[in-house]
Amino acid sequence: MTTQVNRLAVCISAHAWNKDRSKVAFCPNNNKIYIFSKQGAEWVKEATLKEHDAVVTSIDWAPNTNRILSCSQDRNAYVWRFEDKQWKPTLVILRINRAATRCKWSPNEDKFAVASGAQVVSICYFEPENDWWVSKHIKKHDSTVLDVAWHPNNVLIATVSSDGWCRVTSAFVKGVDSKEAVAAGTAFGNKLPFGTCVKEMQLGPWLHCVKWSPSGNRLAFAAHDSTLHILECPNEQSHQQIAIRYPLLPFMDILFLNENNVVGVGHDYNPVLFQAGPQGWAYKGKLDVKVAGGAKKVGVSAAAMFQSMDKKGQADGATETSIETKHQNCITNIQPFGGPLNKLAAFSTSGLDGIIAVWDVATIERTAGVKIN
Amino acid sequence: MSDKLSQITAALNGGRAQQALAIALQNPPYGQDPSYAAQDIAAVVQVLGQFKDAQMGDALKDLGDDQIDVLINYLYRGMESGQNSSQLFKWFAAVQAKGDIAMGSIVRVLTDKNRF
Repeated sequence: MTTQVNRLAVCISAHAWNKDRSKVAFCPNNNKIYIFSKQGAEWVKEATLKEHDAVVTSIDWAPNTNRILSCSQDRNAYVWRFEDKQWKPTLVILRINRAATRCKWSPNEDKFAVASGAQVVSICYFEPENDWWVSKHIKKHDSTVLDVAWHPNNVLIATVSSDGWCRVTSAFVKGVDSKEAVAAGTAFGNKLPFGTCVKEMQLGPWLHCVKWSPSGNRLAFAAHDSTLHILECPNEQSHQQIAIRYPLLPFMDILFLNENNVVGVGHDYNPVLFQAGPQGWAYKGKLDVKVAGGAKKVGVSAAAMFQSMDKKGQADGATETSIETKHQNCITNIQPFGGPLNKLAAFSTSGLDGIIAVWDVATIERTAGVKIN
Repeated sequence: MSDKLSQITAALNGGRAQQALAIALQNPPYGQDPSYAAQDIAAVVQVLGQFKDAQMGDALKDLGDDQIDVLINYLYRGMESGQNSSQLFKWFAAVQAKGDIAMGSIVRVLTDKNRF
């Protein structure tokens, strides 16, 4: 399967897939959320979700409970349920006074976290007595929290912020989580009341994105100085932090394809692979490479030369101005698409160019010459 | 610091420009006072001036990625004074010719909270 490239909007700020990947919800950089579904070979707009007043910054589609979570620069989050053939919103009182930047369902889909510019992460859970979502705040950062990621144990969250810190905090909610889940001990201890910060790591530059590995034994986060950091945390005793410098522009989002492979996407318009090998973590290169055998430029035709003299005031007609990658602008989002989470067979990316591209891992292994699975 | 300067002078006098470059890229003056930093930068720029255009590519082959980061940092600081800029730009072009390496290094210089 070759990489599918679908330009569904002028610019996309966030996207999320449903469980069987037949529908995609995305925000075309305005206050609406579109749901497109695949009918045959075409993408058809199925629904428009209109409740937010400002750009929707993040969307997360819970696969099992089929609820959509969206958060926006209007300081609100909505949980959307599909009932009576429509998507019905429920407002979540986040109690923040700045834009929400990222929202994520917990692995069990009974809580969610919303990161915001108010330096606060809101952990929200459903209170059945009042039939609404209640939020509790985790205030540990000194600046905008840019990303939040849930550990597979449904209790710990990792947050990164523009204050240059990555923190692992407990989001244990009495009534929703049981003590048994963490009594056996996690890699960060077993005394985890809500809001306890169990790990703090300081780096200088802004940290854009954070993700746990599928087993929760590794934490990866990317910084604005073109470094990817991995925290190896298999147990409580041995934590090791590794920094990988790479020669490209910074990442906006990262994804674990499996325990040993991380893909970063960002300002180079290109997914980039990092792999853990016997010598440790290493930068493996870009994944969107031009397949060999493309048309070669043999010489400059007279017509091209005069055309470029006219257009650009230069006599050189051979200057290449088209962008050769699938994405034509910064990639801002990467989501798992196919396969189990600990051994992904496909992932999707969306960016400022309005393209949602679905990448097949087996195809990438062939074209980019890397071994992922 | 005078240690580093004297080592550089010794290497240059002995005609070993490549070694002078390696010494120059050690111990960038983070956290030192500005006059010290200015002397250090001037010394590094002097070493960089010893290379002819054609030799720059070969000189870069021996440098590791960390050293390239430090080199780009020195290039930016050296350009701040406005002198020798054509020579420094040629070094910049040589690093870019090496491949993708420049972009990450430039971003690291721009986002560095500790300037020298």
